[in-house]
Amino acid sequence: MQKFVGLQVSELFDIEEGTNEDALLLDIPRHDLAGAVLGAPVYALLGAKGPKKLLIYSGAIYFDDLDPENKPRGIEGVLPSCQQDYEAGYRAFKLKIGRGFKWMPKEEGIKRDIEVTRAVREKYPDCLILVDANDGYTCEDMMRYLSAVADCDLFWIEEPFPENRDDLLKLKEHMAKIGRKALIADGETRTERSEKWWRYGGYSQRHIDTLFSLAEEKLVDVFVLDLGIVGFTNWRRIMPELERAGVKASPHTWGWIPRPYYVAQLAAGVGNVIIVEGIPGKTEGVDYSAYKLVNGQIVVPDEPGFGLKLI
Amino acid sequence: MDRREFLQVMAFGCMIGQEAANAGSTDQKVSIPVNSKFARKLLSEHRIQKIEARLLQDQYPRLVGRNARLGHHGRGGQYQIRILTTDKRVRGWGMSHGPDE
Repeated sequence: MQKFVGLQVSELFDIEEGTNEDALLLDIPRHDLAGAVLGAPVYALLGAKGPKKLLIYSGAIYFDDLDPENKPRGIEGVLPSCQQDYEAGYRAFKLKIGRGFKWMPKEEGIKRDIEVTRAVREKYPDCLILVDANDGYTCEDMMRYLSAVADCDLFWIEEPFPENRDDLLKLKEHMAKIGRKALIADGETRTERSEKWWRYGGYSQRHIDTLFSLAEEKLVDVFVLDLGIVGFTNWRRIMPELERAGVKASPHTWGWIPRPYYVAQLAAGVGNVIIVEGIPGKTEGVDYSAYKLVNGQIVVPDEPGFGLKLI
Repeated sequence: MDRREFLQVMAFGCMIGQEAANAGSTDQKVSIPVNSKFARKLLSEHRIQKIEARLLQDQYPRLVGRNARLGHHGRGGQYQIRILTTDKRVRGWGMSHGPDE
């Protein structure tokens, strides 16, 4: 790190290219510093091509019904979590499903997933509901689940099962049959790492090629590749490729709280981000107040850099 | 149009063109042009004087539990940031950690 001391800021960061490869560990700090030097928000450095008001969901609705382990709360354990995030300004919840993969007998788990989804929809008729199975379902079970929650109007289904053409085709056909139009979001989980850092960062060429071929057949609608595994500068570079392929982005941010704010700036800068994965909470020593969360949208400020203050 | 429909239109506006989502919206996108040549010159006038590392601690509003594959996600993680300061006392910071750190 000390090798960068004494260098001009312009030697490590270019307004149009971002951070050079030698300084990738400083990718985020460099963008913040460039914004501070220029008196401009990061999204302006990126071209200001996207909206400043962005949909955001709470990515923090996990299997609260299964806790505490000695006396599980049941479905009533999930609703207070949704309410807490609703009061914080969220109007979209991503529900984790897949209880039957590891934590409950399969049929009980699917039943619970259905019950939780229906309970959240009943309590929050006006909110978006996303679901994320972390590849914990089979295609057949996912079709059963979707049939049982067909009237819940899901916004997206994330990682229903390890992505493959045949199952995704069956799933999409089933969704058409039951009249549901939820998006399919995929790509976060990698089963192998790239041997060399490239424009998709730590994701392998094979993984990316698979995603794009699925996208070409409209079997995957949203790429949820991880913010850090791709890299912030790389996300700037690859977004036009996703746009040309007709695919939206929602970079995975869980679970470090600054990351949704980085994605919000990326979204306002390069566009094509359909919704931001939000992480409720706070960070000791950081002031996030420049950002407002109003009625389900995060508003990107015009403060310099990322607009996050160390206090 | 109820709120859920509105939120869906906002999202799907991304898919069919931002114009549809902005229909009726009072959100004016502010374009702040950043002149590249001027920006490069200004950036070249600053030199990195100090790079510091610091740990930050997140606090989720509650214990975050299990998902399909993983156990409890805890109450908030700790991670490293780096703070860059230039010779003109301008500071920038952000998450910064490699696989070995």
